[in-house]
Amino acid sequence: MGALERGAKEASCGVAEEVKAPREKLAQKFLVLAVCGLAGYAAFYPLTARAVTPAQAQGIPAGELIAKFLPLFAKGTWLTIEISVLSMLLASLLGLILALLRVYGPRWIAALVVVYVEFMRGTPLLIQLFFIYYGLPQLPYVGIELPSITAAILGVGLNYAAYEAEIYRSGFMAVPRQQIEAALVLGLSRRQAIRYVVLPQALRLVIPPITNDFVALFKDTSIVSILAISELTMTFRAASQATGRYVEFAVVTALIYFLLAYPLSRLARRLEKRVHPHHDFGAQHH
Amino acid sequence: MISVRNITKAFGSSRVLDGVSLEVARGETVVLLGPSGSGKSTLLRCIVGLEKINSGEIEVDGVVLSPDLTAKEYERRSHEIRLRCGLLFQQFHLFPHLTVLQNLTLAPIRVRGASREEAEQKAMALLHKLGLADKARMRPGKLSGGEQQRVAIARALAMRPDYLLYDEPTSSLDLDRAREIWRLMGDLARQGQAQLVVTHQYELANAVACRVVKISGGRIVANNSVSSLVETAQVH
Repeated sequence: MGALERGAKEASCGVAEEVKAPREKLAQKFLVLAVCGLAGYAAFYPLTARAVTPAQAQGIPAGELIAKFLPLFAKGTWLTIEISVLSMLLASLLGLILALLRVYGPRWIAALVVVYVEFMRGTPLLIQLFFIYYGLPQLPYVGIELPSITAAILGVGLNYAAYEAEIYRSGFMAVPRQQIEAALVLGLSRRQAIRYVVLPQALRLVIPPITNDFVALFKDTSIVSILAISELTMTFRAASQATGRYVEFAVVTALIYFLLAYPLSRLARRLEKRVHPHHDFGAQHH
Repeated sequence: MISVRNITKAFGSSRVLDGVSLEVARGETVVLLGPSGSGKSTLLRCIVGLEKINSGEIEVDGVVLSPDLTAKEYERRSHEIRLRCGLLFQQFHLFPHLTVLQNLTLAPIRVRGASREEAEQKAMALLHKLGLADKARMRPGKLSGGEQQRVAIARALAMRPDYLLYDEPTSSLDLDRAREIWRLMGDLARQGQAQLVVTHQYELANAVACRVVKISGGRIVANNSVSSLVETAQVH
């Protein structure tokens, strides 16, 4: 989580509702100012750096340089969004199934789910990605070779499914047991009780933290650049290595990530307030 | 007829029900009176199969629960019993994510396979009868305790149960709200609705009961008419 974002959150933590609003607005203004400042700095970055690459030697102004690479960044951004959305879809669906099995399934299946969740949370995403992309083809008998983007979506999705499963589980646990009993007594089957009584109540509770997780996942997709996927981070590496202009491109890249992530985390906060109007839980982070 | 025959129920080493027998005929209202911890709530939960009995037998209109059934069969028969018995809780346990009307129509639609229109029509008629028609579109959280319990009763009645079981239905309400519920329960009794009411409020027994059964320490200690109760209750 960026320092700016954290600052904005801290500014509003644990303060009464009436006081919170103006403070949050101030933080937001501050943010906009900071972003504009960074963008301006990038655009007019003086060309004083050592001449490392042809581009610099020719003294192309930063703005022009960025403009040249913009189509590439647009592509990279689109790919990052694609990977994020698809892996989040996978994570939230699989997470729901895992949580249902863990809470309401037979004991031995619940135990398997615990193993899965703990394993995925206890090992680095990077290693999991390597395993799926480079490891799977080498496995005897099952050896499957996946396209890098598929491997990326699978890796991030399977990893985040473990976190989402825990969120869903906390949602299920937060619905009182008596709700199921009340449904059973009305003649609903156990499955119907879960489907029509527990699930809607639990989903309402988990939508904010899951939205929050989506922000984290979105930023974590930068890791999949390691599989030579030309998403946003890979584009940054390629552009900056080709030109030697790390500062400009780092700022551009960070800005793109931020402009996409920030509205989402705002949305998560708003949803959170709707579910728990009197609490301020803050975002989850891994 | 609900027929409870010599059942026991223990949680760990503590025997909550110790050889309880009880009968509730169709159309009859029975009040089961006892101090808290006397096992009376457990008895209701056993009748609808939320708790499994350790010995004895429960029979509701020919459906028999006994401890030697397989878990699956026990659950199947419990479900059959639940279609005949509605259970009301002290804390109402309405579904907070549904409107009052949806609380009433959920089970008729999902369990009885009623159409939405039909279920809503019948639910509205019930709400009218209980003076709750103007609350139909509200969420239960916006209602007072007394209103919530009336909605809970309407929700149970929407399934047209042969028997209504109440677990301390008015213990969390103030006296005025409680009296409203008692009046409603008395009306239902006069209409021939079979009811089994578990309570420690002897005023309730006085207001509603046809027959009073007293339970203490997991055993039935008295099986009386209303009149004899009043004296004993005042001592109690």
